[in-house]
Amino acid sequence: MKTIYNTIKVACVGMMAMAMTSCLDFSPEAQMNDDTVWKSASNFQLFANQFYSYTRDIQSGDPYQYAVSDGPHSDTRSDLMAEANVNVYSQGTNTVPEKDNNYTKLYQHIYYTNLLLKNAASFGDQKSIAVPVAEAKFFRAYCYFELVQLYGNVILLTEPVDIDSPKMNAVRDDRGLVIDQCIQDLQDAPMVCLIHLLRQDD
Amino acid sequence: MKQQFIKVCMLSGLAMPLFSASLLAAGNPNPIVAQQQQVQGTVVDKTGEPLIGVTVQVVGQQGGTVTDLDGHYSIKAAKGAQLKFSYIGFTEQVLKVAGPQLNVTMEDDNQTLQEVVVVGYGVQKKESLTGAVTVVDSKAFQEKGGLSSPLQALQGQVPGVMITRSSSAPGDESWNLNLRGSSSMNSTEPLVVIDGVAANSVSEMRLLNHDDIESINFLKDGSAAIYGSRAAGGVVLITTKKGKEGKLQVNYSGSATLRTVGLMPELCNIDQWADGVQQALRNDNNTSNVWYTYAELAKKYKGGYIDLEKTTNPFGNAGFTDVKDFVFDDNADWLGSLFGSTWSTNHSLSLAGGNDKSSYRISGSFLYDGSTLQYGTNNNKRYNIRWNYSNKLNKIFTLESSIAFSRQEQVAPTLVGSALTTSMPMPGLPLTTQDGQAYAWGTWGSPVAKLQQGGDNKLSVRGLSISETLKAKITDWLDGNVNVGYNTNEARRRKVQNAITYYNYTGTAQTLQDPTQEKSYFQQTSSRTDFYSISGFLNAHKTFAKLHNTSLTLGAQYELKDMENFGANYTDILEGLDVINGNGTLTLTSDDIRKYNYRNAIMSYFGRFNYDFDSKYLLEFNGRYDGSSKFLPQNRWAFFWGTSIGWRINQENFLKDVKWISNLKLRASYAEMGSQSGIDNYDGYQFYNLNTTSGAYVGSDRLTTITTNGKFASTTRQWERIKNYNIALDFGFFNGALSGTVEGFLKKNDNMLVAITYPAILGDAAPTANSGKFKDWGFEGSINYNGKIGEVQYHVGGNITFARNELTDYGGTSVLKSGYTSTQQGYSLNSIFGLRYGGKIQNEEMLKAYLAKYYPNNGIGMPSNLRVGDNMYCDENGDGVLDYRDYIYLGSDTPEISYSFNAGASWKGIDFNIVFQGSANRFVYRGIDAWTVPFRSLYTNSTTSSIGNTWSETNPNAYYNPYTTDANIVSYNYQANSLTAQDGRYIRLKNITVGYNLPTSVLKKLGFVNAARIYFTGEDLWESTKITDGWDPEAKRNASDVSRYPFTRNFTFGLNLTF
Repeated sequence: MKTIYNTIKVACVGMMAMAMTSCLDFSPEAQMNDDTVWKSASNFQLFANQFYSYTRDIQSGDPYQYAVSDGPHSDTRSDLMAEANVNVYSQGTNTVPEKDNNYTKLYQHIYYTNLLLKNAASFGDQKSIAVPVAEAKFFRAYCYFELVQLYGNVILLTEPVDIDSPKMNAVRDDRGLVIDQCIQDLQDAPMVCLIHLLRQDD
Repeated sequence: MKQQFIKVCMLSGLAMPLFSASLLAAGNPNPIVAQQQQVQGTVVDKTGEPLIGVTVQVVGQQGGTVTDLDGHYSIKAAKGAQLKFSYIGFTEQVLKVAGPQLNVTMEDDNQTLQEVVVVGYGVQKKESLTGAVTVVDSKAFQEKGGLSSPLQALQGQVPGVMITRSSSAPGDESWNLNLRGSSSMNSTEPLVVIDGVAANSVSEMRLLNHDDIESINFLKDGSAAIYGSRAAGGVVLITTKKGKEGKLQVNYSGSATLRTVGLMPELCNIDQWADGVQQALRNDNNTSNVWYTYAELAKKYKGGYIDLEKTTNPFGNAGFTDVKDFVFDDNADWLGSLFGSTWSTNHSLSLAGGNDKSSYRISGSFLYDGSTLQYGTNNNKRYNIRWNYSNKLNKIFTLESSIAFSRQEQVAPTLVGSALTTSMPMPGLPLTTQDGQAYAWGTWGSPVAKLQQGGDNKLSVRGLSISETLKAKITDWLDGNVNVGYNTNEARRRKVQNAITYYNYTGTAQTLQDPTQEKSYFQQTSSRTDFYSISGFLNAHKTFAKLHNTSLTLGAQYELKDMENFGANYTDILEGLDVINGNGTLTLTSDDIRKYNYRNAIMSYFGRFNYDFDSKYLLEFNGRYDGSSKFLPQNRWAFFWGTSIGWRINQENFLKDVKWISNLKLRASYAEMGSQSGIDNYDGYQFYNLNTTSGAYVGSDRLTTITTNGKFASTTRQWERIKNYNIALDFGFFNGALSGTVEGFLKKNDNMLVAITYPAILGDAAPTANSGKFKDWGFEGSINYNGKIGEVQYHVGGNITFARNELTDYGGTSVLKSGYTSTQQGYSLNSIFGLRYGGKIQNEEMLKAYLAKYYPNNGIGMPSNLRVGDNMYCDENGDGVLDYRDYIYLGSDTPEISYSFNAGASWKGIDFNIVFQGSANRFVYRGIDAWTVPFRSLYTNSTTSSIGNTWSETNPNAYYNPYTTDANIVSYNYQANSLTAQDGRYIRLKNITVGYNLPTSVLKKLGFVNAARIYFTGEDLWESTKITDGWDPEAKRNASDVSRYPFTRNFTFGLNLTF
């Protein structure tokens, strides 16, 4: 009988423990997430490293990156270049596309810079992440500048938005406002970058 | 720490005392009463047959006796003492000793067994059940031979339960189960609960010994709502066999099954292929092609070969410069020779018994499944041990313990997928070289070498499940129940791919190395799942004023699943070693490691309230408040519930006197149930990846970067919530001889998780959101009749299920695409769309007219060089243009109708049973490949189904168009249309069983055997189908890899013995 009472006692304690503690809070241990990434300054730098592939170059594998085929200063958008087919830009018959890789990609890049900046705001040692923060600001400005050249007025986002945010369907902001933000970012950014470079020279 | 504590609590704290208590507690002997006399008599069943092995005990005393072969017993008992007669399958009887003679007639227990139905967390009387619950008892699994899963025996047998398979490869049968169709476009499997403990998935049923199953209950409607967030796909409750009071009973059942190849497409032989290729080239005006000459050569040298090391190439430099020989072996079939007959065996042994204090059942089984694949190592073995034990600790407590161990060992050739493809070379190539080595012609490596030398893919699974239940009868109106469950499952896969060197036919020169030594690999992966469950509930039941019957159950449960996965791949291996090794590169199976290392838990509070008034008007309400670790805390908890009502019309006064109506019950239910499908384990978390190969070049190296995983983490997602409606009528006439059920159901999912396109400013890809709508509806019915003519007992019955679904709102486009589409707004899941077939072009005039009318601006890939014999399509919308606007719905790839009917009779010891099973409203469109389009390419073989079935002036309505290799014409003719979307309906002879029970007179001579039975069962022996391309009607649309194994016809011989 004693065993039974003990069993019941243990069962009751178990049930109580079950009811009182929350046994439902698990965090992913096999995948990098917000809690693990934004903990160290070096991770901020690793995250910022991806920004260096935002510049247009002559990598032909990626249509966005291939500056010859597209981008605000691409030759195909000038009236200088002729191909086998008629160049719609030089002919003046280019239409407003339904989808634009420039738009999608640039906002994706802006999201990543915003994501870093959002997490940087709550990071303790601001000094140690000054460089990635400056890089994020520089590249945010870079991306908005590209957008403004292509679209004029664009929606200005300085932090990540969720799917239910009113910004998702907001009216485009005035280009003046966007460029002001670019200048602000650039004023914050290059000084730090310069200091960083000078330090490396030491 | 918290989890650790709970684990410890559950394992050491609860399980161990319960467990040891069950081992130690035993009954106390009672003193023997004096003044005894000899009592004797005969025990018979209803039909007067003597019963052997009936336990006869004096109540309150130890020991007892059993009846002999004539049903006789003799026991010492005092006058006025009580004798208890017990026997498995019969109701226990307690009778007072009045004299020296006491004859007993035992009553069948079936009635009482059926009266109680296991529902979630408790049992209910069948007569007062208001939910759609179908019970399948252990008889369904008997005499079926070895079963790769219990589902194999239930295909088409249970109304509302749709079971499909996709392969006959041993261990890879992939038995799939859904209850009443789908409830979401995200897969929602039914929840499987074994002895009160949830299983990981439906596929875990494959590890069960079917001989251990007492019953399987399918909860199809709102009655499943007590399982809350996992009930959306329905719930399957499996109860295992327990020991019963009585003397030790030993059961052995063994069977051997011969499995032969059923329906399978056949490849052309040399003559058929050569004729076809030449015909195709003639049709294309291309007879100068080298393959035309090759076909000539093949016919001429059939049976022989040309060795290019000894003779010059007959083609000169015109072709085939990279091969070493031409072989025209007409007996080598690169498909047909691979498959043949095989054997499977199954043995199971169980020991069961008990007394009034405790009972036990110990069972073990072994299953061996051979493969129809004749080359390479391919088989599946399963070992099961189960120990069920029940012990009455005292007047209040009973401890039920169930411990089961299973082990599965499966071997299959690693390169089976590459050996079984639609892409087979022209016939004539041998399976091996003359000296038995691997043969290759150009880049065509023999499938035999791939299967035999390519390496083995070994899977080893070990499972242990423990379920300990402490039941308490606290008072006559209050019961308690605490269950602790633990399942652990360890799967280890060792996949080896060896390098293969191929030779020419004479075996003198190397022709091909594929895979090369550098590409050889050893992949070892292991995963382990630990599942912990603890639940407790109280049940209060009371009857007020003899009319108001009430019952209330309240409880709580916590379940934790912990999964670990690890795997590595090493290339350039040493052949023959059975452990991971290599000289090349060692990589981790990172994707799987990321995906399958997780933990999730559900905490729940549940309850059920039943009320019935005078057993006439029934009411049930059940609910569950579930919290899942998968969601963020703010979205975590949700309440799911179900309610149902019933009216037992036959209990009403106006029907009470109608003798022929024994049961008439009207039921209706409504429930809101949840689904966790479409939700990952850590919803709302943003994940990141570390990349070393994709960053920008800075200097000479790439930058290492951390990036997001490309998916936006949303904090707004919730459970899918399925509204479930059910209405049903149960009937029973002529004292239950004719009985049946008709049910109608509707499932609505108004917040299905679907992918929504958001403005690009979001950044990463948006997660699915709760904004889709889905509906599934249908009906099911079953009817059975049991009768008796003289000494012949017979039964006939059948059931049918119809389930149709509609993806009402997917947030997607309504433009139709040709071919198979899994999700199309406004249609069923897995639908096929295409053109309406308008017959074949019979002559030049028709061709001209058709082209003139429809060629301009056509959007269906119509080529200008269309020929006589090609297809015509209908302009459905009448706008004069053939394009996507003319696409029509061609049907669903998922069968909407599943049915079966059965009949059986028994006379004396002989019985006979037959089951037909079928499905309908399924259409199969396989796309365009070398098997669906004959002679589409010259260098591959085609199936024989087109022979005699191609268009010609004398065969104007043939299925196939004249052969051509013109890709445009092929794409046009064989695109999805009402002809190429084949009707997948079938009916097959699912099962036929003839059995013979040895008469008692024979058994008497044997002495120690109480019952013996021999039987023969045939499975899938015959079918009727409208599929024209040779495939089995159940085969998958896009069968690849192991699903290309042909389904088998099974001949089982079996023996059951009871000692």
